[in-house]
Amino acid sequence: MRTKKRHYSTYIIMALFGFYMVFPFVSTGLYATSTEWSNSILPRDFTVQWFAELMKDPAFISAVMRSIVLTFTTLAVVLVIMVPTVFIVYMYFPRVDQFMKGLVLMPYAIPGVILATGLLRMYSGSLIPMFAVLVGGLFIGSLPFMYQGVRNSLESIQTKNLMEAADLLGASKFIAFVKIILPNIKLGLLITTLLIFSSFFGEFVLTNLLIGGNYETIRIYMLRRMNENGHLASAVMVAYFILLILISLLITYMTSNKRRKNLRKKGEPLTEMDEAEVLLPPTEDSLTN
Amino acid sequence: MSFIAIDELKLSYGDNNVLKNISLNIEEGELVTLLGPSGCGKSTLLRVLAGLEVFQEGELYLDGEEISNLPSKDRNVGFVFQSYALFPNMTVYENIAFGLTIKKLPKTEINQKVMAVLRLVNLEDKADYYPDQLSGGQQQRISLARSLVTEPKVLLLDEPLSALDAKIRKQLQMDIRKLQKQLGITMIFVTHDQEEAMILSDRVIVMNEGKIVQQATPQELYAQPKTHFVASFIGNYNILTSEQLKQLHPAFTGKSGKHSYAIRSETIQIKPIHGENVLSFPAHLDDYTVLGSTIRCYYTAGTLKLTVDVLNSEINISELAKTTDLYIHHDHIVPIDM
Repeated sequence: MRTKKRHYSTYIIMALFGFYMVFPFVSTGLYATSTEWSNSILPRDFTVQWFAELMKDPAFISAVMRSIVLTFTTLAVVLVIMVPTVFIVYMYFPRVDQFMKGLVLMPYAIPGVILATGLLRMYSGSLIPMFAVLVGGLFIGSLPFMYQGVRNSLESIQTKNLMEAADLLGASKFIAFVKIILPNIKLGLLITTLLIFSSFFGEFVLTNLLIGGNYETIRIYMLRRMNENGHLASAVMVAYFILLILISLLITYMTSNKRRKNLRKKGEPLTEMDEAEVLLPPTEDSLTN
Repeated sequence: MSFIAIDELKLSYGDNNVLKNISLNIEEGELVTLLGPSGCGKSTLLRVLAGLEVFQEGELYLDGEEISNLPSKDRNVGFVFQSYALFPNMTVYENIAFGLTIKKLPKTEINQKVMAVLRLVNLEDKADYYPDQLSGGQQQRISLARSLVTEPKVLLLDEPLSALDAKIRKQLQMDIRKLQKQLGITMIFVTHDQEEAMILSDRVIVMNEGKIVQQATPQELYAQPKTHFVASFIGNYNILTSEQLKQLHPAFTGKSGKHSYAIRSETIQIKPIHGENVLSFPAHLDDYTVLGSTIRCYYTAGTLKLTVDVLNSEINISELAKTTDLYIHHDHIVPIDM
C-alpha cells in the first residue's frame, strides 16, 4: 500500500519538537562527562570523573535510599487506602462521588509552601514524627491524580456491570473486588502509580521544609551540590534521570500480566465463519445430566 | 401458586414512579418476554427479580419462596447482560467456572460442568481464549453459558441481543429458543424489538410507562391488540376511529364505548371477498414497496391513508391497478382502547 506523502512542514515541526525535547538531555549529558566546556561549541574532552566522585560520596547513596524509602512508603499508603476507598465511593455512594470530584482538586489551590507551613505549625513538637506528616502531606498532594485515575479505570471496565455479574454468580463483594475488579484496573493503576511516583520522587518543597534538615533526599542533595560544581550537578541530574527510568521500568515489569502476553500469541483473528456458527448441534447432551 | 409470582409491585426513584403496581405470574418452563419502549420499566422489573434494584411495595415469590429480602447471590437466578459483562481478566473457561468455584465444587465436577455447557453453546474450542478475542455473538454465548452452568431456577436476559448485528441476532434468537426448550428452563427475556418478542416467546408482556398493558401469546397479541399503544407498538396496523370507518362505509356500526379500531394491513384485500359483513370501498394506489414475500401498498380512500400488504405470489406487480375497490371483513376490524 502506498503511504500518502506528507507536507515538508510536518517534518519541520516534528524536528523542532524533537530537538526541544532532546537537546537539554544531550547537553546535560555532555556537560556531566566533560572536565571543561566554556568557550567551545562541543566539550574538549570526555571523563567519568564526576560520576565516580558521585558514587564515592556516601551522602549521595544515602540520599537515593532515603528518596526510595520515602517514595515507596507513600505510594504504598496511597494505594492501600485510596483504591478501596475510590471503589466504594464510586460503587455505593454516587452522591459522595460528585462531591469528591471537586474536593480532590483542592490540593492544586494550596501552594506547597503554605501547606508546609501549616503542617509545621500543626505537628512540629507533637508526638507524630515529621516523616509521617510528610507522607500524609504527599498523600493529599497525590489525591487529584489518584482519585481521578482510579475512578476512570473503574469506569472504563464497567465496574458496576461486572460487580452485578459476580454478585449474581454468588460471589461476595470482597471476592469480586479482589478477583475481578483489581486485576482489570491494574493497567490504569500502573499509569497512575507511575505518575505519582515521579512526582513523589522529585518532590522538593514539602520535603525540604518539613524534614529536609535531617533527611536529605536526592532532590535536596542535588540542590546542595549544584552550587559546588556545575559538572557534578549535571552528573547528579543524569543519575537521577536514569534512576527514575529504571524504577519506572521495574514497576511496569512487576505489574504487567505475563500470562496474558503468552495467550495473546495464541489468539487467532476472528472470521465471519466463527460468527455464523450454529449454537446448538441437533443432538447434544443437556446441561442437567 | 405460580413458579414466579409478582404481586402489586411498586418502585420509584424519588418522584419518578418506574413500576406502578405490577402483578404478574410466570409458570415453570415458560419463556416470557417483557416488551416495551425504552423507559417503560421492563429492565427495572427484570433487575428487581434479580435483586439488583430495591422496590418499595409488593411481594416477590420464586418457586414458592418469598425472595424480596434475599440478596442477589442467594436467589439462584441467572442473568445475561446486554454488555455481556464477561470478566476480561479471565479466560472463557475461568469465566464459566467462576460461579462454581465460589460454590467450592470439586475441580473434576467443575471441569465436567464447564465443558458440558461449552459444548451446549458450541464453543468448546474457545475455552482458553480471553473475552476480547471473541466476537460479540460468541461473547454473548459465553455469557449465556456462564449463567446456565450454575443451574439457576430462572434465567433473566436483559436485551442480550441488542448490541449484535441483524444476522447474528436472528441466529441467536433461534438458538436461545432451542436451548430453552431443550433444558426446560424458565426464561424472562427483555426486549424492545416486537419481532424478537414474537419469535421467542410463549407469552409476551407488553409494558408502557411502568404498567403492564397487555399479556398474551404472540398470536393473540398480533390478532387482538387491546390498546392503541399496543397496536402502534406491534406495528403494521391501520388505526382508525369509528367516524373514519363510517366515512369509508356508511353502513359501519361500531361497538359502543370503543373509539378506535385496528386493522392489520394484510387483512385488507384487493380481491373481492364474498359473504356477509364485508366493508368495501374505492381507493387510489399512491405507492408500493416490495418487502420480499409481501408487497406493501399505500392507498388513499377519501381522505384516509391505508397500508395494505399483498402476498407477492398472489399478484403481479404490473397488475396493481391505480384505482380499485378494497375489502375488509368485519372480524378483522379489532376494537381497541385509546
